[in-house]
Amino acid sequence: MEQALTPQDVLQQVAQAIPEDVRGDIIIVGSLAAGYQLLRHRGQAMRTKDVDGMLAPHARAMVSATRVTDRLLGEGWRPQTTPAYDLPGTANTRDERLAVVRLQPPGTHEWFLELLGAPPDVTPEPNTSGRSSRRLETSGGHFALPSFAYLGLAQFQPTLSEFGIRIALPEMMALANLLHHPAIGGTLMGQPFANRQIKRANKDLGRVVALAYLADQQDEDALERWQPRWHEALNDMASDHTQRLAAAAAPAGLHALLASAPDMEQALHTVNFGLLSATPLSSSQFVIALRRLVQALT
Amino acid sequence: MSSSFQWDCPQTEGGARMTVQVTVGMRTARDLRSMLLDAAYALTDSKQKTFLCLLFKSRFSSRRLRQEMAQFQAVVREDVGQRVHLLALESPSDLRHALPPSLHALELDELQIRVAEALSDKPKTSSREAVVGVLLHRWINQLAPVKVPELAALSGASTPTVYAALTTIDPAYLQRDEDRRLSLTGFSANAWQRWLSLSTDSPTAKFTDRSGSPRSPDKLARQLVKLGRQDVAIGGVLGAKHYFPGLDITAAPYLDVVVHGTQHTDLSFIEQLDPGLVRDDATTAHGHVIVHFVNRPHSLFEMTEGIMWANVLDCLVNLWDADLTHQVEHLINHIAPGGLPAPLGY
Repeated sequence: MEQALTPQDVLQQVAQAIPEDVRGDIIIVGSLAAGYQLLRHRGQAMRTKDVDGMLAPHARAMVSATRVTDRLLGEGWRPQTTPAYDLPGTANTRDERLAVVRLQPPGTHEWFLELLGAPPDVTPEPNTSGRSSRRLETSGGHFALPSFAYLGLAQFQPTLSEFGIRIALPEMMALANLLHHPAIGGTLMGQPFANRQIKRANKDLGRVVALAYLADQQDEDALERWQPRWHEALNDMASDHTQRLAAAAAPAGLHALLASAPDMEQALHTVNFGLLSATPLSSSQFVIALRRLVQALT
Repeated sequence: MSSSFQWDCPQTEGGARMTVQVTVGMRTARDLRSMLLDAAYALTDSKQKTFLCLLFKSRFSSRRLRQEMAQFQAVVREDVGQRVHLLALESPSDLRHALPPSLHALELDELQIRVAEALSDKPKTSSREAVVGVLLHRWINQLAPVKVPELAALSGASTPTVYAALTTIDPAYLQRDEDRRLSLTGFSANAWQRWLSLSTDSPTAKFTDRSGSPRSPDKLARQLVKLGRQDVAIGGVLGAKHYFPGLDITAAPYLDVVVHGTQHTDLSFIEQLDPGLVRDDATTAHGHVIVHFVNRPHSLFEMTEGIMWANVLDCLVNLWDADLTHQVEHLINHIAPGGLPAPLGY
């Protein structure tokens, strides 16, 4: 069962366990980042299981990831995996069998820290995951350090938390998801989500809507600032591809979601059992949140 | 449906001023004769003016119209009868063939546009309070006095309605100059209250939030501005504070939108203000956007820095509609020459 934790609780534990000199190289992305950015002022608990930490910049990612892994394993954190991967990995383990670094802190089974690496750039073709992976050699064996090119946008002006770890901006995570899903593909998530098989696109686009909803709750003009920030980030991080990526970030995926009731229902299911579990939305509220976002982006 | 507007054609030989009356669906001879008589009244004070009656979708045959015109011209002064023109048309483009060729082409194009606008159900016959509203507007803005025909044209009311409206005004505050031009010299508290009450007694459309997190009126107003509509303006508290920033109120309870048109105007644009808005005219519903309609010939809206504001008197009416009596008094004291003579009766 997943534990209801405040974002600060988890961040504090993560920060304390990570060597101080690499703490600044971690950017928290995903649901914890969203919770910290958008829910912490409410003191609201959130349902989270995975804490995604991206090591950045790309040039130091391997070294930093190795140091973090060694340190956490030394302090009793336990690696987690599934039967599809070999644990511990060795020099003989094939790349596709290498497990990602997914470490559970001592004394709890409720959440784990998963390491990602910052990609070298953010310019894959639209509608591809842009996933790449590098072999990580640690004291606990060989692991994979995956990178997702669009998620590299999370490096744009992250917020420095009071725990010394940086937190991705909600709009940058939303941009990464929109670039990844200009349409709703049929790929299912690797594991059931709250006991249901869910399309990956619906989970990710639902996350975009949830981010938008929470940002809008904080400040009704927040969504108006998303596109200018996206252009700023793309100019900064993918200047040769700004126009193409900006065009790809048009809300095509959101329109596709609006047009399909079954997909929208799946997306709502994921947000109500995830980021918005404390304040679930009705289907009509979800549609309004979605349409408000589309309106702000159009 | 009927509406009229003033039409100046300076490039045409003689440079005349014309009142154009556009009427759709006229059915009876009584209505036709009433319209022609109104035209005659409107022309009695000037030999330079003409009156053009345009009938669309009427049931009169050409022969019948010729007969009616002949009878009308037989009973009115010749110089008046000759300046009233009556045309039955299928569409505004028929004007090109129906009007004298001396009319300048550019003027003809513009006239066709104005007629098309009139046909789009914008102006409509107005009420007595609309007539009084025009006099109030001219008084608080220190505009020149007007004669009855001009008052009728400005308010969109018929001449009988104008005369009826004038009887509702305290003679002590209604001034007629030597040219029989009319103006207000004041307005009592009772008169303000009566006018406000009558003016609020008209249809509105109410939109409520279904998201659970309603947009602020300011945000909705900014969205409205983005639409760039010329026929829709911001009224209510926001509008009143535009005209009087010192108004004693901190925030608008909702957004008042003033539409230049009738209650049949397409209001689908409201959804563009916020997808969470749904129409709900139930008396128990709490409106987040209230739409009011003004159907006088001229909207009297004011464009300032890209923002279309409703006329200050419309804003005043919206405040009254919201039971913001103190703010109504405050605003009257700000805009009316001499202020409000006494507190409004609650």
